Amino acid sequence: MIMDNQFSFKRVGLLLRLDFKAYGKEFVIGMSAIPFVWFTLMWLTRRDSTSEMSEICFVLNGLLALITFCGHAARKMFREKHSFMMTPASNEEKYVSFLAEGFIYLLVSQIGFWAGSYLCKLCWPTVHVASLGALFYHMDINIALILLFATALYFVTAMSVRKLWFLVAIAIPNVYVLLHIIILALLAFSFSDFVGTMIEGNIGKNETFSVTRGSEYIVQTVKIINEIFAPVTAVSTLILFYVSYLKIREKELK
Amino acid sequence: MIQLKEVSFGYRKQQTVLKQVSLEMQPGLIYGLLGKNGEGKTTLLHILSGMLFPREGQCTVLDEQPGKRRAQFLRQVYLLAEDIFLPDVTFKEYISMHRPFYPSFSDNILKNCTLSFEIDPTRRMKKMSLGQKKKAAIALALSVNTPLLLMDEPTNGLDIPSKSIFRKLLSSIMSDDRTIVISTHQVRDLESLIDAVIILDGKEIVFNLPLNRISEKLDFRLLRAGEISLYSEPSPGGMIGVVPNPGNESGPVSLELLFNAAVLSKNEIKRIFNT
Repeated sequence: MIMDNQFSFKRVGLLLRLDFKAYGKEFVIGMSAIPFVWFTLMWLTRRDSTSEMSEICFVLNGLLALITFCGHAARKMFREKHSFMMTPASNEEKYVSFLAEGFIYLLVSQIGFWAGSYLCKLCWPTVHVASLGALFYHMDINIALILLFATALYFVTAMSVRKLWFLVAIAIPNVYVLLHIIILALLAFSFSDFVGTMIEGNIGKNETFSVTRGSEYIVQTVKIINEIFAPVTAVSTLILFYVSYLKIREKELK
Repeated sequence: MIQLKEVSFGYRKQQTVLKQVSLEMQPGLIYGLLGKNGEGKTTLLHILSGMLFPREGQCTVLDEQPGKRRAQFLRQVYLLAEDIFLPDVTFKEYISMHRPFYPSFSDNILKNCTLSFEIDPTRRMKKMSLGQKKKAAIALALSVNTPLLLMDEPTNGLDIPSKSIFRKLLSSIMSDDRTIVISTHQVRDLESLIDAVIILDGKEIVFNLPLNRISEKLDFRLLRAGEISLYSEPSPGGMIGVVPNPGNESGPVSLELLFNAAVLSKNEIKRIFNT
């Protein structure tokens, strides 16, 4: 029995075992419903099914698994704090066990999704179901990063907010998008002012040139945003995961 | 074993629950933590276990800062909370889930608890009554055999025979290198058990003393007509109360009378123990 302050994978395993013993039944029942849910949904929409729709279903399935996992994590953090957080394991081990659980949730939900799709295809060969090849073909790095960012955002919210964490998690991206719109609108507004000044200053001289310069700035800005999107999202995701670790390490269990 | 230096704590900035509390606890003693509702007994236990962090001051437990919640620390401290969480598993599974985390786990204590409390190891915990759940939780708390055991209202929900079994079990596991802190309202349940009393009142510790010292300084008895006391109340045989002990003869301590006297005549009590 290793019981010092060094990180121990054995203890991570013990934490997972403890969790599976306590919630295994709940988990198995919930996860075994996934193939039937998707099977039913695909069956209901079989006449209008498209490959895009099935790809959206694939992403939705992942998000649902993630939300279920975060709900479970929040329960362990807040409702059952005496039990999980006070178990003799280091904060790092608890964090890794959380991540491992998240991965298990995602993996099992994916198995359920593909099982449901396969069943549906067996019954109605003409129905469009998601295919791994098409998914890889369509899956842009930015989409993958957004999904990872959403994962980190949901997780950190579940670790921080006691009640209605899910609503807060939904509100954050909305505020984020709203801020983007406001910033872009302000940018567009200032650019139009800038173009206006240029036109005014150049009346009768070179109007067309000024307008083109103005649009060029906007195109440049969008281009820069596109270029920095991937690294900024990746760094933000890492920061969010680190914050969630800090939440576990420094959280007061009130 | 436990040292608190001017520890203050509040759940919000404006609201102070504990104010500059200083305290020392020695190994080999069972401490009774007494206080009115909302005086901070549970908060104090949570600070000692590392669930809450002091806003000011220093808290050292087993030479560690509890707030860091290091594995090494957590394996030496067990907190039996008042609101226990029990998963939907059998008692046997419940024990097997926690046993690997505690190197000091004692099968003998577990056997003793299971037999004394008549716990059915194959019964699912969710189907147990409140009292049975409490017994199961106490059995785990005692069996993990940690040097520091913190118990928040452990006798709540226990019937009269079970309270007596609880006292016997607790006495049987006591050793010189172990400290047990019991927070309770039901002082009579633990009167014969505790070695030292800590009374919390008005966000501070009124006193922290062993029972033998208390009985040297205070007398708990029937009062003579017109006799002035620190606290008195009617009883079937007349007025009983707490008076300063003039001699060195020490009698039994009534925790209930002591608590009322400490809360109502705080300054007088402090003066008596400081002389």
